[in-house]
Amino acid sequence: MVTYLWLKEIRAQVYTWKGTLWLVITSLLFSFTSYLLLTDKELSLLDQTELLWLLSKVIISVAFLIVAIDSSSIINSEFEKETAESLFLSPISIKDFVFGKLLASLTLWFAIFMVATPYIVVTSLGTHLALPFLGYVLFLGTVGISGTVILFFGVSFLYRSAKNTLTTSLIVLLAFSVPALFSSALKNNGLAQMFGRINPLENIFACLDNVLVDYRLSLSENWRYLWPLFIFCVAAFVFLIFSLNKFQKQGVVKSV
Amino acid sequence: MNTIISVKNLSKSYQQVKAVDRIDLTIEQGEFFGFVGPNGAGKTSTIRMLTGIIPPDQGEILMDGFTIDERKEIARIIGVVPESRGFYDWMTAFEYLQFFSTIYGIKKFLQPENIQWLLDQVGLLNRQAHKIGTYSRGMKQRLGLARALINNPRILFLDEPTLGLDPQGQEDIQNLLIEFNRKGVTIFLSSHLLPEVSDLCSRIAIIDKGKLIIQGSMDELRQKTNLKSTYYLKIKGDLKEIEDQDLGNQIIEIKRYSDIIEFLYEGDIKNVNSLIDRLRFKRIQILEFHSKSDNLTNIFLNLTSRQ
Amino acid sequence: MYKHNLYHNWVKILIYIAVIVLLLDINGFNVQSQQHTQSNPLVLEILSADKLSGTAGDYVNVKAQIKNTSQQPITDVTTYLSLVDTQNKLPVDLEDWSAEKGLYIGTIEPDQILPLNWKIHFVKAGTYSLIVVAIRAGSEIPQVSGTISFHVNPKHNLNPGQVLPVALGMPIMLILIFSIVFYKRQTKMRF
Repeated sequence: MVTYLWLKEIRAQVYTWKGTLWLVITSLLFSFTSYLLLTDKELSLLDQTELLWLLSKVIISVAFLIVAIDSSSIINSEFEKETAESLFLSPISIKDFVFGKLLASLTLWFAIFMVATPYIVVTSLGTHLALPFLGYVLFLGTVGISGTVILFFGVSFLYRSAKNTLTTSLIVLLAFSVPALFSSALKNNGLAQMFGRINPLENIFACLDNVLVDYRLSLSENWRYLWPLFIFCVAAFVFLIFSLNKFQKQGVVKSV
Repeated sequence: MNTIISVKNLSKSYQQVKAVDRIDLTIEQGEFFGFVGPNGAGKTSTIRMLTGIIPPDQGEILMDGFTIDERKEIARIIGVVPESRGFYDWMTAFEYLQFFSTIYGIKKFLQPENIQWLLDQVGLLNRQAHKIGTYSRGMKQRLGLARALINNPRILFLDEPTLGLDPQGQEDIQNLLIEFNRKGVTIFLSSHLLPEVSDLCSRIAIIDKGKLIIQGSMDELRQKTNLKSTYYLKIKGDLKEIEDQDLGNQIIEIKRYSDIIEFLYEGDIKNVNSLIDRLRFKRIQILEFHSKSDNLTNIFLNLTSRQ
Repeated sequence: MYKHNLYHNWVKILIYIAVIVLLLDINGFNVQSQQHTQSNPLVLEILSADKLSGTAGDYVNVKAQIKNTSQQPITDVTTYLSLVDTQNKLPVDLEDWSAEKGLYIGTIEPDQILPLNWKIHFVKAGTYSLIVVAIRAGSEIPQVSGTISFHVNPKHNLNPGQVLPVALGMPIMLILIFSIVFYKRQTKMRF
């Protein structure tokens, strides 16, 4: 059941141009960034590892943004286009529904990762960091994006409105991204440090810095950045369960 | 006959507004059951509770032995044409039915034949490869019915199935429903088209302001509401040939058109049959005879206080 | 005769005055020198002046030396580089050039010469002036070396690391794949 829903979503992404456009835009962004990094007179003279770290940040940020926008509407579109009722009249459980949609959102992330792979390989030439780069971006991206998608699904079931969910999602993403703009002095502030510990995006970037720039490749060396990500995923899942309970009490159609 | 749908004390409120108030229904297997009521009466809420779309606040629902908690089992035996008419516009009709066929567990090798047959039944066979987004409202309606029948349901719930269809389309759908009912499918029809309901349904329930006002066959409804049947007779001939005693005092309306006379006759069906026999004896040609189905309209308006 | 004697006397007086003034001047100069020597006993010299020019991306070593020309040991000395973009008339942030570090000297003995070394990464093309600066505890006057000018040539590479085939190829390939997918679907729908 989950598989059929997942495949339906993939086909919808392709045939409605949504997914295809995202991937083409992503590819253009990565092309521009990698070319800029490697040919610009000043930036190309960065340490190659710093260059890889920059590229990894771009890949993760773009993926987070695209998947956030997609996951904000993937559930709400069923309610807004009134296809949810027909779907839930069939033998589909809410669990199948959510897992199917989750797989579809993660597939979009994997597609973005596949598009990013050649860029990762070409910018890593000569550093022996291609595999760790690929591995860690895939691993961290999957964990981080899973948690984020689950969180936004929870928001979707609460709001049942794509517009409101998207607005909330973008605000949350902005909150995750803003610390990156802080100066060193602000980053040392206690509150900023506390937020940094729980911010999934910041932990991902810090982990990639640790791997690519400081060459600490083992999971144990990066555990302090990984456990907050897992906690974030668990917290998002708990929020989703809460939202689903409320959704099931209200019913598929909120009111006549 | 077995009871296939049993509803006891069903209630639902939306923010202190009682949408459905302690409804009891019993529907036998193979029945063609009509469910009518004015706008906002609670018809759609009732259907949604019966089909598991919204949870009831209280009450008991049994669908062919399954409780409402056994949603998956119920979903396999029912087909629903719901009020909301959403479709995946990017899919073709064939893909849409194929998707639902797969969800219902219909084997892949059986799907094409099954889908083609259904599309033919609803008149969409030559549009099966077109995107649903290009369909008219009526075509989407037909597709909705095809989807409701995809799993060969035992119970069919229909919420305004002929809304938006032209008269030919309405007739086609009605004929299809009659055929399915003859095959043993229990049909639960909610419609504003009272003639359609009274023509098709063996039993009718009228709901207003969340409460079940009355239920029964047309005759039972008439008896309970004390309304008499009305029949329409169109004859060719001279009324002078017909004596008063032939007609009695049950004529309520007469119209004359050259040599054709139309009149409305209110009375028992036995008396109508006698009238027809007498007219035939007098060699009066009967061009048309049928019951006036707006009788249900009268009952409906009478009971829902809109008259 | 009296006039001749008077003239001689005046000349003598003038000569005496000149000598005194001269002596005072020399002393004054010596005092100043001594003072100068006492406040700037460190002498800095850039040794690798002729090897500094290169191309953007190069790493070069800036070699310099510091000498204590005083008779006392000098403690607590910090030396650092200062770089100016002479084309744009701007100081350069040495952190970008990986040369922001200061070299600390605890004690430099009298007449001792110590080597100084910085590895500098040519980040941007242009013309620059470089000096070495030394500051020590207890002195308000820093010591600077002579100014060295050098030129960094630009680095042009239109396809570094073979990125062009990927940068151009990926979007084109994706557009091609999706076009084929859509065409196939359109054909299927037509029939």
